[in-house]
Amino acid sequence: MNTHGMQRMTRDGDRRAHVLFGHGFHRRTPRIGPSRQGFFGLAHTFTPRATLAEGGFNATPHRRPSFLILASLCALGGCDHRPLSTLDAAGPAAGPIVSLWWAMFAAATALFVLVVGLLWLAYRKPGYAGRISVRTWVLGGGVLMPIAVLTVLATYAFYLGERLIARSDEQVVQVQAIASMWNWQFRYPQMNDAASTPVLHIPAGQPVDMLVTSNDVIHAFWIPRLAGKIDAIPGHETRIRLQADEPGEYEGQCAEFCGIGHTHMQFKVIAHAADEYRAVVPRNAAP
Amino acid sequence: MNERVSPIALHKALERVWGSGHGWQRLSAVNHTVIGRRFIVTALLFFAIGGVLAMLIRAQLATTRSAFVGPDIYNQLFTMHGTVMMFLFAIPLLEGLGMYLLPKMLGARDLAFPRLSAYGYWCYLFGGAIIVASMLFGVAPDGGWFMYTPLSSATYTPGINADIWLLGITFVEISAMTAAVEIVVSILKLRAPGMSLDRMPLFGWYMLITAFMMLVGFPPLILGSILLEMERAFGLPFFDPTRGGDPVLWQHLFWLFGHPEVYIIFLPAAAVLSTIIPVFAQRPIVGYRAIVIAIVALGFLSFGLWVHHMFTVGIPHLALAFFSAASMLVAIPTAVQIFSWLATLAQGRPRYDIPMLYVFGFFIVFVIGGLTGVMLAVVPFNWQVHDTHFVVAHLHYVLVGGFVFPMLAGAYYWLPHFTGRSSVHRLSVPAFWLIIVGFNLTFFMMHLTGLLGMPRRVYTYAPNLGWEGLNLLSSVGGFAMAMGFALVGADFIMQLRFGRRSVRNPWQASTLEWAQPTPPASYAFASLPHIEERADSIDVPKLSPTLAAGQGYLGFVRDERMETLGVDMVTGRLEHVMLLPRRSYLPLISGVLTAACVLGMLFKIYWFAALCALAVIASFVAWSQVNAITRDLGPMEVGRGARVPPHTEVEGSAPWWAAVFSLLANATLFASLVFGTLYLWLVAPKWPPAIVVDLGLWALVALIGYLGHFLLVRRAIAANAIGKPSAALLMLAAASVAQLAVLWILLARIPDAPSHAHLATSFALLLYAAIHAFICLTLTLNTLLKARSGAISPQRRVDLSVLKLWFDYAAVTGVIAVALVMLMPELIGMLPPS
Repeated sequence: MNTHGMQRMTRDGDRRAHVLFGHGFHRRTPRIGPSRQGFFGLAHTFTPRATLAEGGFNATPHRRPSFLILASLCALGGCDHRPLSTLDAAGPAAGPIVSLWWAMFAAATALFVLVVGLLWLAYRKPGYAGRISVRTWVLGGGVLMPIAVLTVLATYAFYLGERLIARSDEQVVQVQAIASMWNWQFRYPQMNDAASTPVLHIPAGQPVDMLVTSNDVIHAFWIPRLAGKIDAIPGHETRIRLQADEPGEYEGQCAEFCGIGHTHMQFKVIAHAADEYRAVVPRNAAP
Repeated sequence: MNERVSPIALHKALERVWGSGHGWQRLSAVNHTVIGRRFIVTALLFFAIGGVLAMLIRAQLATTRSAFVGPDIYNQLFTMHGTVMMFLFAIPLLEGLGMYLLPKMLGARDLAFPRLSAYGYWCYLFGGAIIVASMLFGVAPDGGWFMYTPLSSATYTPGINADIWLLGITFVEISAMTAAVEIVVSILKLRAPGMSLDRMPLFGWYMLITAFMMLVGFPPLILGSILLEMERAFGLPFFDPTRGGDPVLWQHLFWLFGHPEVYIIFLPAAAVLSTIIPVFAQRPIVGYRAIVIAIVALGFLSFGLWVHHMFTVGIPHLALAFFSAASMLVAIPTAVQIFSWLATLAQGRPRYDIPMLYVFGFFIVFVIGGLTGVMLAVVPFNWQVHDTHFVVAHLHYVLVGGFVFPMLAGAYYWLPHFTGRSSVHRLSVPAFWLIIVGFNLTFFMMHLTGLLGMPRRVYTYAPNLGWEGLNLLSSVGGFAMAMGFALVGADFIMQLRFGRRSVRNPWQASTLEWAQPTPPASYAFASLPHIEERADSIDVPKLSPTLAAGQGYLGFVRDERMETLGVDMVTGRLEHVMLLPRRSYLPLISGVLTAACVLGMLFKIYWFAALCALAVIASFVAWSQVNAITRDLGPMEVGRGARVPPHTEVEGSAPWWAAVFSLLANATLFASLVFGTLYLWLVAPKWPPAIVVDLGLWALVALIGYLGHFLLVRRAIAANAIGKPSAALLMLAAASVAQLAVLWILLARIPDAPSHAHLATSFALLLYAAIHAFICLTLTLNTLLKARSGAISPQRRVDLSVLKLWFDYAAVTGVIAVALVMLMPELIGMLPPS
């Protein structure tokens, strides 16, 4: 049920990520089927036709400034290779968060313009803005407006969180992640003879529950393109659900400061086609 | 006393009594103007140090694979940057601002406990010096400014680095606690007669709520630091998951402090805005009542959302949703204030000056920070950007926008008050533009670097992650901002040296601090006003000459005493004369001894630390003895035809309230300890423990002992009422000694405390009770000394009231502590076997 919901979201979130931020992960992720790379040059993202052709996602006009900002920054940053970008979601656990971010960005921009506009008006045209009653200012702007915005946001945030959260489910593939200063080991409890690996192997196209803990200090497990992060805490086991839609390589890193080696505590993730998955996870040598 | 003297003669007489001396004598200063100024100047020096650290960070991150510093140094840099800015810059600056301005705005001559603020300053200076000096030796704290354990435990940070943080910060926090008590009591008790709470300027309201939040917000951190230091130094496991502790408990204690701290920093800045904006809008503030309600609400709400720093530790989603909603709710009182300020500008006739530039800067920067704050309160989004540069960007937008910009506005606004000179505009404007452009360039980029996946606290990064251009821009912006701040510094110095003499009240403000000469005199007001309207709408030009001429209250010097007025907390009705202590070296002596004690603990010379701690206590006894008033004064004339008794002869004066608020802070610390004990029992791994505490019958003896305390302290009060307190006080002292002995026996019955958190928390609870028995003993002996020297009489009984408060508090917490330790084996029995 839960899984199903996530899969539905996959397509959507995934496409939005493509459309908005382009071309990043396709190069990293070998695709099956015809390449669509040519479509996603930066210039194309500005033409609504290209986005519609991509699957009916409407690039509403108010998002354009964000394209411009990002486009100019991409020129500086070199956007065609962003293996750790939260904006280049590659699965249904990360995708909706990207959409959420852009929606919040648009709303925040509008609110910012409103406040600064009112400030400008108050200063430039005091007679005009002064006609608004004190009640309207304080109750309208200070109470009603935030309540309206926050109710919508809190409700959606709760709904989304409920959908993304990893609930105990035997059907879902489980992998243990064990952090130590400063490396990661992954174990596959559902496969009897699987070896523990420094590279995380997951099946593509289906949810994976990570059971995360630490041997020493607190770390955090994070594959930005596949899901949010969860802390690795000694003495506790935390859980996060992630999913890669397509087979390919992804990158993960420790997000919680853990001492001298924190910066270099990265790991590689390989998503395998689901039918090959069991065969590719390394095995222990027979005893 | 009633004959008119000239303003000059009055000035000379007051200055003789209130002045802080010259040369080395300045070390004995206790005056709020001097101490407030010291806090502010010292905080600005630490801000410069923190700023240099930030520049080193930006130099390192400007390019990919930079070889400027390695991870060992880099970890010290960002830890120290955060620590210095939070604990040595922001908090002390707001304390200094409050100390400097509050008596002047509320119409008092000084704060309620001048020596306490002086002692707080020395603690701050010495503690800050220890922390900063550690950098010179390369052993600065390096675990991040929130010091997450187990990384900061003895196992993973074996050196002195973490001890410097824990002990140094706790040392500095003494100044926060003393300042908080000082500010709360001074606002509530020492105002001009007639200034009821609803006539108080908003600045007073803001500082009142801030100080209350400090009283309740800092103790969890102080407790956490003490527990972590005990774990590091003596092996008592509170946070060690291998011995029944839990590192997540540290996070709860830290953020239980850490989140309110953000509002503790923001509210005084909002206080500045609420003071400045009406002056420049040329109309009274809009929505006075709405703002008061909003900040009270903010004070409460801010304690209910610390978990939003912990959305990724695996707490159940429903709980996260609760804290998420609470975090969003905070936007409402904040929005009420923002729109009240906007309305004030809209309905006034706003004019332009340098402070207003920074007010505009505040609006732009803080609103962005607030909006990203709401985003971070959204749980799923938080899972992605938590611990990335997005958070770094957000917190700088909030803290720089919500603190530094308003403080700069305040600096330009009150500098003429500080210096008596007016500003040199030529530097101020370019400085502002460098700061605001540099700031946004630096931190706006960081939102994007964070979204592109850059975690915070990495010392370098690989090319081709999409982070290079953004980081370079951030660094360029950072250096531009630094130049802006340097210009501001130059501007301040220019004004100090070359500024033209300012006219009095240059902004045409209507608050009391401008109804006095600038730079201010040591006694603040030559005579104290009677307030008949809201104290932010005062006719300053009309009032100030009458005050200078001594036509208000206390326009004279009596018996070479320092006197100010005490009022009823709510109505502001004139109640008593507060007799203040003269300048004294004792605060400095106590501060030096405290520093020695901290150094003893730092270098693990515990016998020396214990000796110094005793010496500190002895110095406090000396404080109490030297200032004692040894005869009943009766009602005194205060001018304007009024006669009131001195504070020593009324109920509910400042010293009594100070004890109440200190105990409120203390109770928060105790509640945090109880919370920790139960939290570990409920949540931590490696429970149940192999052995449990068995106090035996001695626990009952301790409980009966507390009943004895309860009765004996009342007997002492009754004995004082008939003028013979000594014998009863001696009995009370004997009872405290007996209680201390019993608690000692109980402590000795705890087996092998380092082996498990259950034993360690039991030890901590009983130790808390024992320390309080010792405090009660000390207070009793001090009161006894005072009784012998005639400083206590049936009329002058405040010492006994305070004694009763402490004994009752010690009894209540002691009973809870002992009972909890007794009950723990039962509670442990309810746990499933591990």
